[in-house]
Amino acid sequence: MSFFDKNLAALQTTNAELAGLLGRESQKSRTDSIFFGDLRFEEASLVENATSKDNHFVLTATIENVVHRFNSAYRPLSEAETWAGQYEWKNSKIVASVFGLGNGYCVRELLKSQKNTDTILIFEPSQNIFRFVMEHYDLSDILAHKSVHITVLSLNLAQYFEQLGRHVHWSNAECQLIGEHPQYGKAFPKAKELFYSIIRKNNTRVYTDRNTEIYFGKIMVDNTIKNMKFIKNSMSLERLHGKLQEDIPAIIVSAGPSLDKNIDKLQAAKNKALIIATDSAVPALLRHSIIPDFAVSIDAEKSLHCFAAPESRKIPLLCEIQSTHGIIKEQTGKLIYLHCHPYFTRLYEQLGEQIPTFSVGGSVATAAFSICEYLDIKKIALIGQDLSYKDGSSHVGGEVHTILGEEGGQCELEGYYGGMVKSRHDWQGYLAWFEEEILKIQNRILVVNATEGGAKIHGAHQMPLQNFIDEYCKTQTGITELLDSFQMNWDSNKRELLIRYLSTGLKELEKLASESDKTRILCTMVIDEYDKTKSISEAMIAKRKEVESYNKKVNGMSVYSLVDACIREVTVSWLQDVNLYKEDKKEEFMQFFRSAKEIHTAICETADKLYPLLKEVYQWYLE
Amino acid sequence: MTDLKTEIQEIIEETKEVSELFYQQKDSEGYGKLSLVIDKISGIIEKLFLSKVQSGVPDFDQRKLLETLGEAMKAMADRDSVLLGDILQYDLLEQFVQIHDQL
Repeated sequence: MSFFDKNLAALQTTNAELAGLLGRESQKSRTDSIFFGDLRFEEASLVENATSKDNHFVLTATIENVVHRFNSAYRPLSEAETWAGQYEWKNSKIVASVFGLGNGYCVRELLKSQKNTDTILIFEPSQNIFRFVMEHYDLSDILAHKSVHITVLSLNLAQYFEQLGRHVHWSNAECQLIGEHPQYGKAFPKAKELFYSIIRKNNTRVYTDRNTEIYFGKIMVDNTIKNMKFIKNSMSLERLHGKLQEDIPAIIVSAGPSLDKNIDKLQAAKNKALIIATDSAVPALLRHSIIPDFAVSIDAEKSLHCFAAPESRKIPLLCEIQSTHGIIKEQTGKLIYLHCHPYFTRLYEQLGEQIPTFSVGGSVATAAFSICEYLDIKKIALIGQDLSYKDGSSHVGGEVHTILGEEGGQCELEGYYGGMVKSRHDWQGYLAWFEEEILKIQNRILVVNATEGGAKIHGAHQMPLQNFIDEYCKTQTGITELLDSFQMNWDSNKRELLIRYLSTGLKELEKLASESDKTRILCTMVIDEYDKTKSISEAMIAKRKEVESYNKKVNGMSVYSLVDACIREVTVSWLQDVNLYKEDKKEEFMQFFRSAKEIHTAICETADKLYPLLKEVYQWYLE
Repeated sequence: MTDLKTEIQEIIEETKEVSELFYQQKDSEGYGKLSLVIDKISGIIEKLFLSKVQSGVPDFDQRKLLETLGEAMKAMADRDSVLLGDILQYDLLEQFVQIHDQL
């Protein structure tokens, strides 16, 4: 069996998608550059093996007419050992991102130190190098390793974003290791910049999500419980998946100031493209007598003025169960949930329904974009997506909406028509999201920025809206008929299941209130004992096992996700360094009890507060 | 002679540290420490020549040592930090260890 076949078989066990792409993409492997829209990355044009002084292979490649050597010319294995030795693996749940696979010598050294809880994400910038090493080296041990994931820039870039998103959480973000294979940084500077940019932006996302959860946790739970009354008249977005007519385009309408310029052109696209409006854009559309096919609203504290007009409430609404209660309760049109709160995951499993899982990206426009991706829409136009100010206004119609910290978050971005435009930090973040998302999907989805103003979105084709409509909006979407065909009301069986589910939730809250109080007391006793004795007894070790066992039960309760969201501020402060290695083992042991005491105190208080709210919904369903 | 031996020992330890930094891609730190080591090496070479002339110890190949240093300089000029690490770790150190053992 050749090395390539053996390696491919190994890769198939851990990354079937990449294995499949290797076969299909062979024609592209001879280019000397990689292009993503207007972004260009380096590619190796000639890859070879040399021999080191101690008779091992030395990988070399020519990149932009310069020959680079990726291993020591003397003793490459010893070099790899020294390189890997700089990384400490004491923390838990380490995510190690490595720029460059090379011939695998360095990664193999890393694998000697990594634990089962650790993950190694390899970002290989050169498809030609990857193919070469697949053909000339036995990498099967690396490729089949469950803790290793390989991304090749021009083949499966999207997977790198997914893997980072999956493995990096705020509780282990501090445990990340980032490394560069020797000489890769010099050989592939643009790809290296992309690599670090992806990690930085993922870290920003992780901490932003954490801060959002802390800030909005309680109000999201409040919305979730109150919106439960409307769940029986809703459907999941999953029911639309695979049902849309092939090749219908979508136009995402955001409320940026440039929307004034081309909003009237949307009439020509009606019924020939899915018109998906962000909540803020709905009033402007209605003023121009344009009814979108969908409105999207995901914020937990959105102003109700977006849906003040009665006709706005008839528009099918794509939302989340934790979206603003005031909007959900007034909705008379179809209610379509993007996701469910984790509290309902088990309920939907019992109902045999699937709930989509995808990232909404932090804004209602990015959510709309994610929805289009989920629905397999192949042509997406963005309008009103300025992501910048225009003549001092932030929104369509010359409106000015300010945000917290706006003054200090001012910045400049590259303009749609060149030059620089004035922007702010949250828009800058959404721009980064769009650009990364477009990078991931650019091989299968055409993204057009038809804003005709605002900031440039790299990777998106720029085209006036009229041109997009003339070229792509030709057939009837049939969306109204499709939505009308869906049964929205839950039948009696589903309602019964929901009532039982809510009843279980109430019992769990009662248990949480009493058992967490006992746990709090137990932790207090252990802390007091340690403060007196400064030593850890066998009894304390036994009590730790007791608390760990109870924690496991708590995490398994369906209602805990609601409680957890409310106490996120408390849990974050204790858990954000839980995976960091600590020298002082006594302190680490006692930290467990201190954190458990505070967390279980918060659980008791929250369980008591949520009980009457959930009971009210339960009784409403009973009546 | 004891002082010379101690100085050579220091150069050996510091050269190992510098080559390790280069293998670990810590080039800025590596070049920073290298400049200090080079100063020490320049100083010690004169003393070694003098000692060899005066007492025949240590017996070492001056030309080879200077050639090795020349190769190291070329690797520095080419910004090939791994090759530089190799030359320091395997070529230069080997010669200094031999010299150290004779003192």
